[in-house]
Amino acid sequence: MQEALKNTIDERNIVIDEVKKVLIERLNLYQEPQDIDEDTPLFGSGLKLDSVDATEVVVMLDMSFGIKVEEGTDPSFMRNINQLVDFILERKRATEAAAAEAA
Amino acid sequence: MNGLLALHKQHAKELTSVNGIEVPKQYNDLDKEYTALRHNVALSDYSHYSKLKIEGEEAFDVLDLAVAGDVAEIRDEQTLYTVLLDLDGSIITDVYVMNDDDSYVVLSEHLDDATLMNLFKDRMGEFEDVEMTSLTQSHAIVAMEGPYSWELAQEIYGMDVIGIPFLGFIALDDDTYIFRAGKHGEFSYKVILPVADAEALWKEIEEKGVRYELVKAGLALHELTRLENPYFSPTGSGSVSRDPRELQLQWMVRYDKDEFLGRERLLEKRDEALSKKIIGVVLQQEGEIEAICVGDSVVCGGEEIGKLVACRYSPSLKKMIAQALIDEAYAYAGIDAYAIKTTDGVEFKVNTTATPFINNHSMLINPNENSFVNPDKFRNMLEQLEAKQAEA
Repeated sequence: MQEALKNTIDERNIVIDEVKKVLIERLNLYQEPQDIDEDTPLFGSGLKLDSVDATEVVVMLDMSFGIKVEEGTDPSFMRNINQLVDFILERKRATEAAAAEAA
Repeated sequence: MNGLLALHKQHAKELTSVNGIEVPKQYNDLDKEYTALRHNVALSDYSHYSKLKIEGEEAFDVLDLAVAGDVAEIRDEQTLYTVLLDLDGSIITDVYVMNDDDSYVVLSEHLDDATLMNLFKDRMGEFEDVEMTSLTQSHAIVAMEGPYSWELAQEIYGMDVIGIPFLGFIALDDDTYIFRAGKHGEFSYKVILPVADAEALWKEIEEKGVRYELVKAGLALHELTRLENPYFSPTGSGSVSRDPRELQLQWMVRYDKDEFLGRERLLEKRDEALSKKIIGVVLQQEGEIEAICVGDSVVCGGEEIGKLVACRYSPSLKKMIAQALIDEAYAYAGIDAYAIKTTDGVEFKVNTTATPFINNHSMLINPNENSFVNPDKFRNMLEQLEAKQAEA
């Protein structure tokens, strides 16, 4: 595997593991991390989260990843673990780009 | 021949026999059916689902042993969407288990009536106080589906329809249920009712559906919609794997349940290293490409890392989408370093992605505030937000 690809996958894996760990802790889920597939729906079927849990997810993003979700943000980033991870990585890259530009 | 089937024979483009029951395969042009399902309302006949009523003091025990999900989770008028496993821990089929006041209705799309019945009989073991009745021939399933299907269903059955949660249902009487569940990401209401009543309901929905630009649809449409919103598919990803981990369907099993068929082997497999996994793949370029087929390789730097197990053109994304069984080390979303290599040796760059592939239109609709037919209301929350912003 090429170095750049390996780094991309490693970076994603770190975020996936953290998201699963924090969700299990904050929402008191019965699953072990390896039992939650990345495309598992968070709401409806899947992990069966509800609207109260959605607020917890937003709080989790702030507390664990320093991401503030503004009012009016398209909520589709909360559909599953993969989309949540995409959202975190996009925000992280945007912050890094802004910092680089400011420097 | 029942009245509803006679109607289909008269009007549908093509019929098909599934589980021994004839239903429409296609009613209109597929793009017309697709647009209705994704943007307003489609009307379909799902009578081919096998339907089994399980009653008696030990009905719960039989079901809880038979399915991999936790039947104790569902209260009256709630449904569990789960799987039946074989002794090897592999998925036989997905099933809906509806709890109707402690008797249960099991719905299966992929097994015929006799096979479903025999699977449960095999699992009955020493349980004696259980009665199983097939509803497959006696009952039809008429479905209203699409972002405004709740509004049409409400015209027919009243305001209570809006209160039905996903995987909930209302028992109208001993014989008729309105069940909210679908496998395409849009609002969906299946009416399970005696066959004798189905033709009249179909006609009523057609008549009332005119205002919603309703389109009659067949089963062929769902080869596409269920790839856009993947579910268990015996002919798609299920044709190459029945392992819940490889299929990313572990959410349909309850590892911590004390007992169910296939659990022992499933737990053993859970501790083994995973070698492959199904992931979503989207072509980077737009357009429909006929050269891309199931079985094509997925490559990274010239090396094969997997194969396509299902692929279609998505009208919503205007791109080819696919599910691929990929070596585990490469099976991640958010990667742009892979390509599909066709049998002619041509490579098309792809992005791996989270699934569902699309953001369903139903996610933009709030039944308490939006409407397709009321001109005083916005059609969706996006229009509502834009109007609010313009006002400010």
